[in-house]
Amino acid sequence: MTSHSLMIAGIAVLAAGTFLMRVAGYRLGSRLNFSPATQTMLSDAATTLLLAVAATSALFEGQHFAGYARVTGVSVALFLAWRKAPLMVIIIAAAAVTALLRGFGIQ
Amino acid sequence: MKDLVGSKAMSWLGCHIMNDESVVFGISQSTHEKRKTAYWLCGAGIALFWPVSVMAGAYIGQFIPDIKAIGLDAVFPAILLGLIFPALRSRRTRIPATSGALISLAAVPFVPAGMPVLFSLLGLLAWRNRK
Repeated sequence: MTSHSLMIAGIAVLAAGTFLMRVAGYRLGSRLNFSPATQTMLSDAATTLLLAVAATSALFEGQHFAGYARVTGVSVALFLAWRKAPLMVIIIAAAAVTALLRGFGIQ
Repeated sequence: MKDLVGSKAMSWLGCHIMNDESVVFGISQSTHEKRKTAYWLCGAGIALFWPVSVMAGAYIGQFIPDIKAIGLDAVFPAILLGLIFPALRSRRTRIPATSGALISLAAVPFVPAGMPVLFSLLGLLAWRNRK
């Protein structure tokens, strides 16, 4: 029971915090005037963070190597993205290649 | 951004539906009316369907014994790569982004989970204002 209400409280705190952060970002963003160069740098910063998330989640599970099956699946996705394949094809290929390799016993 | 969210009272709701998707769809339209409509439609759609899909997923998930067997763990990085790849075609973005990703990977064994990604921002030191 206690852990239940603790969890609900945690969710409420996170919800309020996330919302406030968004409002603050919006309020602050409409006050500050960034130069076009700074704006492009900020958008590149977002891309940089996302690529880092993709790279670490492709290669690692926590602090351990994620295994060759996942790495190969994501590599296929990377290749297809380079060949301008549709997003749906990229997603299905990544899952299919990974599953296939695991089916053959390659972890 | 400012024109998408709306003014005064509406901006509170406008901030609530602010996410990657609604913003991307919003800023990519040509006229002011279309921008606003796209932002609000996409934002409201996600506000409705995201929680519904999560509940459906939790239910359907019971019938999937091991998500790894069907390769679902490879889908998350694959989606990210598919979405950001167009941006990586420009050198200005690619150089800091790949440097940052390499720094993050190098940091994984040494810092707690979640931290390595933040190290990627060091890659922005390689950022130059070019095409």
